[in-house]
Amino acid sequence: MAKIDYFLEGLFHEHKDKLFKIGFYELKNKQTAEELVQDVFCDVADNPGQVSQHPNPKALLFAMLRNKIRNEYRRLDYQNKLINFLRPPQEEQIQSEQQYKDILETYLGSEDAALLYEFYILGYTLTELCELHKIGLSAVKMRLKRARDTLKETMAIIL
Amino acid sequence: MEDKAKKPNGREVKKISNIDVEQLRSRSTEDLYAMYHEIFAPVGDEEEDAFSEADLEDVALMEAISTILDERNPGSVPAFDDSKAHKAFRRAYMDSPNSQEHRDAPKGKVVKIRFRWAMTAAVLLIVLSVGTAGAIRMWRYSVIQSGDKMYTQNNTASNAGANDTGGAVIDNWEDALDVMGGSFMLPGWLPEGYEFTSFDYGDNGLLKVVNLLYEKDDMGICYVITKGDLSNFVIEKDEAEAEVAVIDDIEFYIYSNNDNNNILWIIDDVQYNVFSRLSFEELYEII
Repeated sequence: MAKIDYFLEGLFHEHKDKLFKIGFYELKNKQTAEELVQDVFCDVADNPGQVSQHPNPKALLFAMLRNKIRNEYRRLDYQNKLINFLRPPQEEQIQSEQQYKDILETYLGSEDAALLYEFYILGYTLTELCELHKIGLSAVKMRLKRARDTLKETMAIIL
Repeated sequence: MEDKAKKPNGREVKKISNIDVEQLRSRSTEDLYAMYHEIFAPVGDEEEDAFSEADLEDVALMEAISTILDERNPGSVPAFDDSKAHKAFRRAYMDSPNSQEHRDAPKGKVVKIRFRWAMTAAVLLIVLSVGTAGAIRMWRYSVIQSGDKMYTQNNTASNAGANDTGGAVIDNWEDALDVMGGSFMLPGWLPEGYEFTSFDYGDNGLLKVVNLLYEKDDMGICYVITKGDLSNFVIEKDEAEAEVAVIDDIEFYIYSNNDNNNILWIIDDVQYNVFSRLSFEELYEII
């Protein structure tokens, strides 16, 4: 059985259900609420010192979840903008989601295009992207931001 | 009760000092959902990760409103299937370079040493490697496992010195209790086949924690002793399921968390928590 720092393990068992409940009341979606609680604890695991040395670990966890939910709303908003931006001319119809990726690759490098496509179109979580690309959480966040910034410049030129 | 405040990001929020739960209860469910939704409304495009004191208001409000919504719609929230999240949590912890530093922290943050031995071989090994003192320590451990109800660890002058150094390597649970200082209750009985396998010691400056793990095959019993300022500790429990038993003026909180049964109690400035998939009857025996 893989061991984990007991303080963190205790935090998980003590607060997971309450965090899920708080997420569910806002999102009304079990899967998304579960994924965001999972992301909170993956952030904790990624930087355990932040929470173990915090004077109020519980409040920190709750605030992290609130931020995750806000970021999820930002993701959905950006997804709409992205789909509108990537939509081909009226006479053409999107046949598959893969086409979004193909269009993104005309603006971005293949790695950045893949990451944006997976996060915003396919709806992968940050944790899933870490596993998929074998990179850390902060690297995923940094690459997503870089891809958005690059695309933002392109969109501003086109629009 | 309400006044306006500004967060560091410039967002103006309703500040509710010392949230009045009764006042919130007087509001309609629609009002509560609207207030709740406002907490999660994103401001600006930049993702938020920071934490400030102002967030405490949001946290308190989230808790209060969700509690009231629970009361009004009991059973409306499905159960959290935490298996995937827990697996990802453990994997992230083991993979993270930051957590590696956390695990290996040299100055009393977390020191983990695993013990796995057959009793006879271990005694021989200790006699050969660390001499008689180690063998005696091992004998005391076996006595505790076989039935002592209370094991007292006094904070002697030499132990206090070890605590002061901060950087001392703690390689057994007895030394960890020495560093914590004081007298502690320890398991008085273990179900057949369970063996002490490892311990963790943690010190974040506010709290000192010793975690003892006993295992049999893939089953475990965790016994946690926490000492320090417990004023910020809140016992989280589902009131519908938790029981409180008072024995000798000590409140024992008895509750389940998914697969685990928990018993938690506080004596002075020491909190004890034992949890396992064992039955409550077996947990009673342990404490």
